[in-house]
Amino acid sequence: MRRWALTAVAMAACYRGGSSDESAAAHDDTGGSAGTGADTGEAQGDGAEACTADQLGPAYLRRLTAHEYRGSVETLLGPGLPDVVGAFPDDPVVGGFDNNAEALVIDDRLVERWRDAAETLGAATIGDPDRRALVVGCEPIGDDRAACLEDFARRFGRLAWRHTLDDDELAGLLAVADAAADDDDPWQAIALVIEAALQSPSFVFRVERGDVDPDDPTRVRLRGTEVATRLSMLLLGSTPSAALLDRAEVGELDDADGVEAAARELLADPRARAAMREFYAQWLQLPVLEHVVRDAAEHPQWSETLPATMTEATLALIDAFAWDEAADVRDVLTAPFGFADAELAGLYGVAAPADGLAQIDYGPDDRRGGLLTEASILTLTGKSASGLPIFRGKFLREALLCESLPPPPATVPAIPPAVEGESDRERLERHRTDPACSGCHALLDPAGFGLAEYDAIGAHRTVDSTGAPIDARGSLSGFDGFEFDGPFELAALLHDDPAVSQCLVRQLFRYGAGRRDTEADACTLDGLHQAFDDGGFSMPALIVAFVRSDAFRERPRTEDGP
Amino acid sequence: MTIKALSRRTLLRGAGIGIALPVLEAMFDRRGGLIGPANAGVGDPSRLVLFHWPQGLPVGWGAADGGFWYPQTYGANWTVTPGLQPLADRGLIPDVNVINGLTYRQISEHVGSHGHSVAYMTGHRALPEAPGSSEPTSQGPSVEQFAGARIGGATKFASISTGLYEQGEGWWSWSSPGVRSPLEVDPKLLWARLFADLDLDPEAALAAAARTKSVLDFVADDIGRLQGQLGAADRMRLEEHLTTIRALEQQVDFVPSADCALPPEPGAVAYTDADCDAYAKLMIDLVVMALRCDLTRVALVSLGPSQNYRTFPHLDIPYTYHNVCHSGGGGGGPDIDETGEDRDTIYRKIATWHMEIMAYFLDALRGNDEIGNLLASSAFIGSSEFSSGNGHLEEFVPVVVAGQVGGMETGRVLAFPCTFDEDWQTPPWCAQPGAKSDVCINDLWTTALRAVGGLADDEVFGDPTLDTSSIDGLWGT
Repeated sequence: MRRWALTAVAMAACYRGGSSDESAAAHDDTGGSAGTGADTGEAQGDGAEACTADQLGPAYLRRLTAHEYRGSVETLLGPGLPDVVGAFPDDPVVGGFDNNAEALVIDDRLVERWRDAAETLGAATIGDPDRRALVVGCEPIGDDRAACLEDFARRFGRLAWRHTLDDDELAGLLAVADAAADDDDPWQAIALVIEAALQSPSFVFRVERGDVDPDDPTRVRLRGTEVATRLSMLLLGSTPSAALLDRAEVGELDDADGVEAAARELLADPRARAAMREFYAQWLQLPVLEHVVRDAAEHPQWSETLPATMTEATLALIDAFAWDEAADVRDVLTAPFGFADAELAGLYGVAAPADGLAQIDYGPDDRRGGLLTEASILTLTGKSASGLPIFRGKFLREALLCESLPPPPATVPAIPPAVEGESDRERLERHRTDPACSGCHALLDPAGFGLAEYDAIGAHRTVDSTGAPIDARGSLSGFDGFEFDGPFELAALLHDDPAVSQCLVRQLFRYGAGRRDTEADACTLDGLHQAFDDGGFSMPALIVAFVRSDAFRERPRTEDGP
Repeated sequence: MTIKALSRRTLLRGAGIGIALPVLEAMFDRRGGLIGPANAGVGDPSRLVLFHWPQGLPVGWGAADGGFWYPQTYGANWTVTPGLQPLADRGLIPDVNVINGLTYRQISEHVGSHGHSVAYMTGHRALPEAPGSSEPTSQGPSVEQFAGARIGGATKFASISTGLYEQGEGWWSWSSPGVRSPLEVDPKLLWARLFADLDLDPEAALAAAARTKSVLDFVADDIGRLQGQLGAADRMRLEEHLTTIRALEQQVDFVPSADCALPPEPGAVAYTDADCDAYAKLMIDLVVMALRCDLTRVALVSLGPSQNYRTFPHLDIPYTYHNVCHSGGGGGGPDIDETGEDRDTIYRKIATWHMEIMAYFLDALRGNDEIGNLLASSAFIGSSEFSSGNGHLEEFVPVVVAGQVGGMETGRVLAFPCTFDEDWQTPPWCAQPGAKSDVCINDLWTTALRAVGGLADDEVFGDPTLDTSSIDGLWGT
């Protein structure tokens, strides 16, 4: 079965309406790996080494995201550069992630901004003697000029293009520098090399040539520098360092063990924290918070600074579980602590920390603890005061369970206005008696009820928007035994369900591969989940399994390619 | 607005750096899909100007709007409706035609909740981005990008696509099939892109042009070299890159027109909802000056995406637009479902502001005694993707046209037969109640494109399987 056939079934079920049992048919959004993996004994053990070439999935030419561009020029030219990336058009978001290779197209305006950015960065480099010394390291003046230019072009080009330049490439860059031969400022030649290198397709795209596997002509093995690029872009958000390129070019990244060793070193680099936060934030839809509007009259505790703090707090919580080999990352769902500054602590109704953002250990009366009770998640799903469970159910289904829900139909009828004496919950229950609505809403609303005790900015509440007492009993249709009362029972059930850990595998894969997963990827995903399980559900175990996998280091051979 | 006039010296210097470039047929291939009348725009300054406002009008099923916007009569003697009063306030009624009853039902494919609106400016059915996906994608370029590829060859920018607040669903601009083109939404960046380099001294301009050229030549060569080493799919992505590099090369060759004056650089203002009136007018000022300078001959100004969570403090409206359009469509802030305020009253206020901004745009294009009338050489189309924002309804899309390229009798209401479903209310303004309207918006785009030289008379815009033709009574028809 093709991957998408199952989605169509799920969507039809959602729109057909009826009871929750009927509509809770399969709704996995690719029909890929969910339901297999740990339970079936089909897993591959280490990575996905038994996967065939067909199961490696496609590999697209990826252009740099804004995030990768920023990280790369910082590696190339040092910190403290002008913010050129702020002027780039936003990268399109697909399935929550901004690095989907197929969506990362090129248009006139982006290329203009690349040109402007390259000019600005070239000028900033030659205009600053300290940066010049750091980046160039020689003076393109007098008798040394030719040697300095060549040396610089060779070094800078290698870092920017992520491989050692061949003669043609070097000659091309030096020819550009020639355009400044008559310039009064000898450094202009350096600026031109920088400008040209940063606008070259070899910089703005992650070019992967690869070499056909001599043992299996259906597969193409990525070159060491190309694997180094994948590693460094994923784990550091940057072009690889010269040292990593050195290792790649002597063959150290040609096997899974070498890749793992390099990955472990990169994970220990302080920059890895910030880079991986891109993944966690996008997975959890935290960038949505940048655009959240709340009415201060309705929410006196709301402030312009809260969304950024909420994001930081949630990422700090993730960090507490995502870096330790011995930590089960699923515990982030049930953690009895969180992070807050004074303002957020006020929102939570807990004692403020002495200084800045700090860990807060929650007591049983605080009604707080675990990812689902984070103000960030509760706010970004708090789109409508009386319809909170809908958006929270949607978040659980999409972000944590990797289900694909169809959007509301174009002529979606309004949720009926409340009638006198009806609670928010009763209103939604009445709405679900409409067969046109019940199909989708039976998937959404009961799942979201578990978080009913938090308002649209994540503050705890004892009554709903109508003043009725909170009833936080809910269920997750399609999941046997998923009956819960309140956020902690819900979190405990999710914690142990393989659908959640399988979904995290898929989300990491989508981000790491820069594309949606397809049915062909089931083999790889099964292998990753097995390794994740074997590694006690630690993120380092999952990341290492991913970079060791064939899918990370190889691609299928295409008929039309060299 | 203070305007710094470009000196004669600046203009001469502009002429001095002209470098002839070959006609870029690859761009036509990529964007138009057809090799049309190559560079019909050269020496023939016809302009296509598009204005869009999101989420249509406060109307119910069958475009019943209680007489708010749609004229109730048609022909030359029509009574201005409240919704169109902002045009009358600027004396624009004699300059425009209002069109009732266009549709794009013929190419409406529901993908997600706004997917069908991809068809509105692309003339093709939307496709799911992947099978089963709720993300829509296009099968062709949007009309302004198509026009830019056809008639923009002589200007610095083939086309300029701008808007307010680019976020949320609703993608109007597509540079080619499947390739979304982000709108320019930041006035400071738009200014920098259009005008920043108009202020150089002549020698510096020459040197900068030569320098830019050398780097662009290198990049183009580099792309060609790499293409030989990669597979077909990767080569296509590189082809996109090459096309954009060619467009940058074209910019080196810019000569400003005599009407050109350098607008002041916008301050680093945070364009918040509270400033949206000033924000919209500033974007329009910049676009109009780009047209006056002949930096481009094709422009789009969009007042926002379909799924729009902006509020309107300057109208004392605290609700998000989405909440006003849709019951339950909150997005934060107070909820009109709960406050019980009258939705139609609020919606009408917003629609009236949209019309005020369109009137401002038309007024600026019209010019005055001292600066030329750009409308004289333009086809202008102001429209929305829906009639009923609430219903996401692609029938009866509201349209205002202006401009005299090819000549057009204005001051009229054109109405088409417009009942298409017996269950729906027949709008009172229908020319022939009971008949089914088959006049697709592609006819409008095709008419405008033919008038500005973007299409030959035997070519059509959009879905080639439709029976597309010119609309009588518009530009030169």
